[in-house]
Formats: sequence, structure tokens, C-alpha cells
Amino acid sequence: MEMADVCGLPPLIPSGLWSAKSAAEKARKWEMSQRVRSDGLVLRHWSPCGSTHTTQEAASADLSLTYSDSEYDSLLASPEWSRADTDLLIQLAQDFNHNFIVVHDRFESADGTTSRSVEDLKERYCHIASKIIPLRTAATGAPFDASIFTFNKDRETQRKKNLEALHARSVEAVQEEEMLFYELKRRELYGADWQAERDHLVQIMANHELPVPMQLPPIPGSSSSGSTESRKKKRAADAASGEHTKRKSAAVASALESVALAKRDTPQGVFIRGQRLLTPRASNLASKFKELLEEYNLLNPPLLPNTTVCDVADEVRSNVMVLLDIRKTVERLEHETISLRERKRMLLAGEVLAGGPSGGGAAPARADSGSTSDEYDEVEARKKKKAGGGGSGGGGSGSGIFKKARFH
Amino acid sequence: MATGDDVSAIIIDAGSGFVRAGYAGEDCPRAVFPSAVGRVPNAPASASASAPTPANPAAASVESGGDTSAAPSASSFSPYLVGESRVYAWRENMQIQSPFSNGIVTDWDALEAIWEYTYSDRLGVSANEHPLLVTEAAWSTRDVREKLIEIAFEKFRVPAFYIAKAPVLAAYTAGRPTALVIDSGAEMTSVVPVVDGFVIKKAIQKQNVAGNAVSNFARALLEANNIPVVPHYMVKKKLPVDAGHGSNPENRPPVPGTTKSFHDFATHRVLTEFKETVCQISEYNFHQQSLAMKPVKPFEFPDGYNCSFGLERFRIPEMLFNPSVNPAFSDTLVTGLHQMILSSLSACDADVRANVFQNVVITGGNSLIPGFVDRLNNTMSQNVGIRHRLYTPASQAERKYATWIGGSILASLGNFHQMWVSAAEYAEKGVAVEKRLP
Ligand SMILES: Nc1ncnc2c1ncn2[C@@H]1O[C@H](COP(=O)(O)OP(=O)(O)OP(=O)(O)O)[C@@H](O)[C@H]1O
Ligand SMILES: [Mg+2]
Repeated sequence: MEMADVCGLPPLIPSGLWSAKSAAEKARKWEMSQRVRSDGLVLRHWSPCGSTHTTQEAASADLSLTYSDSEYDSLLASPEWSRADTDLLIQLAQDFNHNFIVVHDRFESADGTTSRSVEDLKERYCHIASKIIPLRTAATGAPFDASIFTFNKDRETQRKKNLEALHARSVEAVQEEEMLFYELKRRELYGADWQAERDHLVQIMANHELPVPMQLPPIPGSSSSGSTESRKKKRAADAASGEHTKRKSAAVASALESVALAKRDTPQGVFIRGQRLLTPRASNLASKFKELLEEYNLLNPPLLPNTTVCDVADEVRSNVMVLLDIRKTVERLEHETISLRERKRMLLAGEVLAGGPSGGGAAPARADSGSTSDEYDEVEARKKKKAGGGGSGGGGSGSGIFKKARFH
Repeated sequence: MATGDDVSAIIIDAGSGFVRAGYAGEDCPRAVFPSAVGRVPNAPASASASAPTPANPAAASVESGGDTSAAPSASSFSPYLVGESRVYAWRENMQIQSPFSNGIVTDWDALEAIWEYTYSDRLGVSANEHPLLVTEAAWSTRDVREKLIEIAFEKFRVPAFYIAKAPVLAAYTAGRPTALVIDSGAEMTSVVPVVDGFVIKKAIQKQNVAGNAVSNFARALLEANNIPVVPHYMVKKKLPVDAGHGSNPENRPPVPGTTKSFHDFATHRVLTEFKETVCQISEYNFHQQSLAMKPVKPFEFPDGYNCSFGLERFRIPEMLFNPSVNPAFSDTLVTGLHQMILSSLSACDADVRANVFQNVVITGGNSLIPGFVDRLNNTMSQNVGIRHRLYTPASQAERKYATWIGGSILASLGNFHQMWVSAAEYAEKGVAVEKRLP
């Protein structure tokens, strides 16, 4: 309530003691200082060095809302408010530093029956202030800002009603909303990754003429420029794969280029073709790649490393790489499916239990309901981890669930 | 800081279980002692004190277990006995009584005796040299406050006086001007919203179900399981006993001249030790199967009886959250703690509710039962659709003494200078200065 600041009245309890700011500031020096009060009480207290001991008594004389009987009758009389109640309100407002929540708490209407809301009190106070203060300031010529004391009761009442409705939501409703919120956050965070991954898959499949099961819809909310670009590329690749079959190696080459799985540096000048076969670029594939080639006894350079043989060897190698890549993706997706299925099961189970009475049995399952903030932290933490550059993105998305599942 | 030439204030936080007293500006109370007081009837000159006969009405009424109601007028009693060395020691015909009822002082002479003892025996200072700050329950009344002011100025001649509400002080300790203070002490558990340093009276929720009730339930369960609770004073000699077996009854003969109130008090002391050692609160709703798997805890009673406790150690304090486990509450309006929190919050104005609930401060000795805070936290998440945040104190002692520490902080601050009610002010306005204290 800004009125408190305007009126500058002292609180009964010093309120400046806790400001969050003071905690952040540099420590001040404090001293034991002796002070004498106007009534002769001498006490020693801790206070910051060099602070001036302005007594709050002096400040309190500043502004108080008083009115004479005739002023009351002519300006303030109201059918809803008795004089006694009005006086009490003004007194309490002053005592409690215009903190109307507290004023309302202490307000007992004289007849003991009328119940008044905080808004009723504020409205009455503002009404009185807007009538009385201009009279006082007119004498001194000080400017009066009427806007401070305009109070829109209907709006305030409605606002409070809305707030009440918000607070009255059941825990389940709040949790569901929170869950949706975090799901949305997760999407925002990973949407682009998911889209890129899909594009990647589509590309691999297109380039190798694997049947595309269906046109994958784009993931909503992930319209990063990168993904549209890759979609364009995909369309180009589609077109290319339609027209030819014999120029397979060209398609492979383009796939290699775009997939960027393999590396082959073509040095200047003369070189031995057999030493320049494709090797996987990603080091995590290298060992598996080697294993697989060894299995088929293809690891060593061809015995007759001419162009044709080397091209075929390259083609085999690049296909192996694509195979490995697809296999890895399949594994990851399977893992993800399992974890998502688990998550779905838990959510369904949670909802069923939440619907039931909160008896003993329901308790353990609802146990993690308090951890929504942890979940949020987890999302945040993963965001950070991702930024740090851990490649294993989607695979971990279910780990939080697993952690909770183990808890039961 | 409490050197001779210093005038730091004295803080006395007298609860229904314990009194905490010390100097403002210090971080823990100097003296903590039980608030129960003892009284011994003066033997009429004609009768012999050691052999009460039916002709001796005072002794007879005591023997029959009657306490204050049946007791003769105050003049025929010894002065109040205060402090653990006096109330814990057996004394013939000594009655033990609490000066508080529902957290509010009812026996003013006893309270005076407690203050007197605090000044002379524990702190060793004279009352008229130090300002005095005392605490009171949030639901204290004007009469009580006026009486406190009167005693402070008339009997103790303090230079300055202040009465602070316990929840406000606990909020101070947590550094929160606005908070929901949950205080579970000896006699009372209360939930009190504090807004900008003021108690919201209309939203106070309180129940006389706290540490004492937990001890009483422990007693009932132990008795139901035929486990004797023999207080220290009855045990002649502590002898080793096989696990699960009671001591030889000859080793704990009834002591003639013991009042019921003393016996109960002494038993209660054993039970308090028992519950503080053994009890734990389940983190989630009481679930027999899973709790039965938790490790057991042994306890040895003063007479040597020893036993390990499993499920019971969870069942006993569970009554704080789930009163239905205690048959003694079956016909009462006692509710679980989360219900108190809900009621208190809904009585708060909507504008401060969220803020209040963002600063939950837990205090009181009873909240030290292991698991109390976690359970409360879970219970709030499960039952209240508003986000909450618990204030975590720096130490157990801070949680236990939050009220006293808040007084210590408040009274030593420079801003507080104007807040004291001085002797001069009292001389001018009398007990009407009560209005000046929020
Ligand atoms: N570590 C502990 N574990 C369990 N209970 C404890 C522990 N420490 C203290 N208590 C219990 O806390 C109670 C005392 O708490 P406290 O001193 O806060 O109460 P009080 O302020 O004297 O009483 P009230 O606030 O009800 O007037 C006793 O019942 C005691 O058994
Ligand atoms: Mg207390």
C-alpha cells in the first residue's frame, strides 16, 4: 500500500530490520550507543556507526487524519459507517502503519455484527482521506494528489475473488498444470533437437532408398532455421533418389557429405589410393566400425587397390557406417520408447491414485508430488549439460522417471 | 556482553514446558529450566509432617491425589520451588503444578516465582537494572498482558518492559517479516500467520496437542503393552535386567508421601526422555507394512527395563498428523497439523496468503522429533494447492530456541529503543500502556 510511504508513519515494530538489500550490502560497523528518550529512559543498543538517532516520535507528528464533529457530519457521515467504527478505523490505520491487512485483522465493529472486508476498510479510509486532506493542505498551500486516494473497490473485490479461486484449486489441478508446464518447457528446450534428429533420420533413409513409413509431421514449436534448411535438403535428396538407381555411389557420396560420418582427405599430388579409404569421423563409431570390418575380413586395404576396387571398398565402408549409425539410432529410440512408456504408465497410475481417497495406500505413490521443483531443476541442469556439449541428448530424457520409479 | 556495567536487556521466554532466559544480544539462552513449580504444604504445628493422619487435612488431601482444587489456601504452603534441582528431586508431599494453561499464564504467583528464580538464581542480576522483554502466546488476552505489565513494574521494578508475541519473534529469528509460524511446544501446537511483524489474530489455529500429548500417548501405549514406566525417584538401585523383563518390584517400592502430581511429573520426565530417544515421524502417511521394516531402537528405562521399539516409535508421534491413531482423541475435535495449516491459510487475506506460505517457519521443541519437518513438508505439498517454502534454520538449537533468539535480536537493535515501555510511561498511564504493545 503506497499510502504508508506517503504518510510516513512509524510502525509499531521497526520494519526496516529485514530488508533483503541489507544482507547483500557490505557489513557496516555497529556500536553500542547510549540514547536518552524523551521520557528519560536511558538504554544502550546496537546501532550502525554514525547513524543519526532521529526519534520516530518526531516523525509521527507529520500527518494524521483528524476531523472535528462538524466536519464529520458534513463530509463523512455515511449510512454504512458509524462514527465509532470510523474513528476506530482511523486509529488502527495509524497504529498499524496503514497496513490494511493487519488493520482488518484488529478491526472489530462496535456493534459486533457488521463484518467488513479489507476492501470496505480501504474504501472508507480513502474516502475520508480524500475529503479531509485537501482541507488541511489548502491551508498550507501544499499540493494534493487526489489519485493516491482513489480506490476502485469493485475492481479490487473482483481481483481478490480471482485470487481466491486461484488459491482454491485442488492439489491435483495445480500438479496437472505444473506437469503441463514442465512438459512445455521440455519441448521448448528439446524441440529443436528432436526436429533435427528426425530430419537426420529421414535423410539417411531417403538416401538409401529405405521405405519411408509415412510423411513425418514437423514437431510443433520447433521451427528453427536449421530444421527448415535440412528439410529443404531432404526434399532435394528425395528428388535425386527418384530418378536414378545405377548411380548409387553418387547418392552414397552425397549422403556421406551431408551425414558427415566419414572423412577422407584428398591430399595434393600423388598418393596411394589404398591408404585413403574412408574412416569414420566420429570417434565413438571407430571401434565398432573396426570390429565389423574385421568380422568380414575387410579391415585391411584391398589387395588390388585400383580405382574400381577402392570405390567398391569405399562404398562398403560407407554403408557400414550408415548401418552403424542407424543401429545406434534405433537403439536409442527403443530406449526412449521404453522410458516414455514407463512415464505414461506412471502418470496414469498417479492419476488413478490421486482420484481415490488419500488413505494409507495412496501415500507412497503420491510421494513424489512435492518434487515438481526438482523436476524443473533437472530440466535446467540438463539444459546446462547440453550446453556443455554432451552428445547423448534424447537418451537421458527418461532418467528422472527411472529415478522416481526406483524410489517406489 | 553481559558485563557488570552493561545494561543489556533480559529476555525471558516462558513456555508451558520450559523457561528460557538470558541476555539480549546473545545467541542462546543462559538458562533453560522446566516451568513446572513445586509446592509443599506447611505442616500444621500440631501434626507431625512425617506421619500424615486423617486428622491432618492437608496431607490427607494430598495423599488422595487431590491437587490444587482440594488444596488448602495458599498461605499454608511453602514458597514455590523452581528449577530442575528442586522439582526433579523427591520431597515429601510436594505437589507439582504448571503455571500455564493452554499456553497462557494462570498461576501468577508461580510466574513471579519463576522470574524471581531467573533473576536471583540463574542470571544473578537485579531486575531493576535491566529492561525486561517477555514472550507471550499469540492468543494471549488483554487481562493477561496488563497483569504482566503490572508485575513487571510494581513487583520487579524493571526500568523498561516489553511483551512480544512468540510467533513474531520466531519470524524475526528466521529474518522474515512475513511468515507462517508453526510452533509445536510442550502443551500447544499453533499455526500463526505473521504479516509485516504483526500476528494475524483471526487466522490463529491452535490445539493443545504437542509434546506433552505425545508423551501421554507413549505412556498409554507402553501401559497397554505391559511395559512399566518407573520414574527415577522410585528406583532404589539400577540393576541389570534381561531384555524385555521388568525389574524386580522390590527394587521399586512405592514411596509413601508422594503426591500424584509429583509421580506424574516424574513419570512424564521418563516418557519425555523415552520419546526423545526413540520416536520418529514417518516421512509419508503412516503405512504399517513399510514402517515395520524400519530399524528398531532400544531404550533402557531408569529401573533397568530395556526393550527395542519398532512400529511403535512411529505410531506415537503420528498422532500429530493423524490424530485418529490415538484413541484418546476419538471424540474430540483434534485435527491433524495439515488441517490447521489449511484453516489458518484460508483465514488469511488472499493478498498475503502466498507470501505467508512462502515463508514457513517451524519452531518448538516438539518439532525436533526426527521426520517432523519432512512430514510437514510432504503434507503441505499433498494438501495445499499453493506453493510453500520452508525456512531452514542454521541449527537444531535455532529451531528449538527461535522464540527466545528473536527476542534477543529484537531487544538489542537500536530501532527498538522507542518500543520499550518505560517505567515513566507506566507511572503516567498505568496498565493502559498495554495498548501500545502490538
Ligand atoms: N529432541 C526432541 N525430540 C522430541 N521432542 C522434543 C525434543 N526436544 C524437546 N522436545 C519436546 O518439546 C517440548 C518442549 O518444547 P518447547 O520448549 O518449545 O515448549 P514450550 O515453549 O515450553 O511450550 P509451549 O510453547 O507449548 O507453551 C517437550 O514436550 C519436549 O519433550
Ligand atoms: Mg513455546
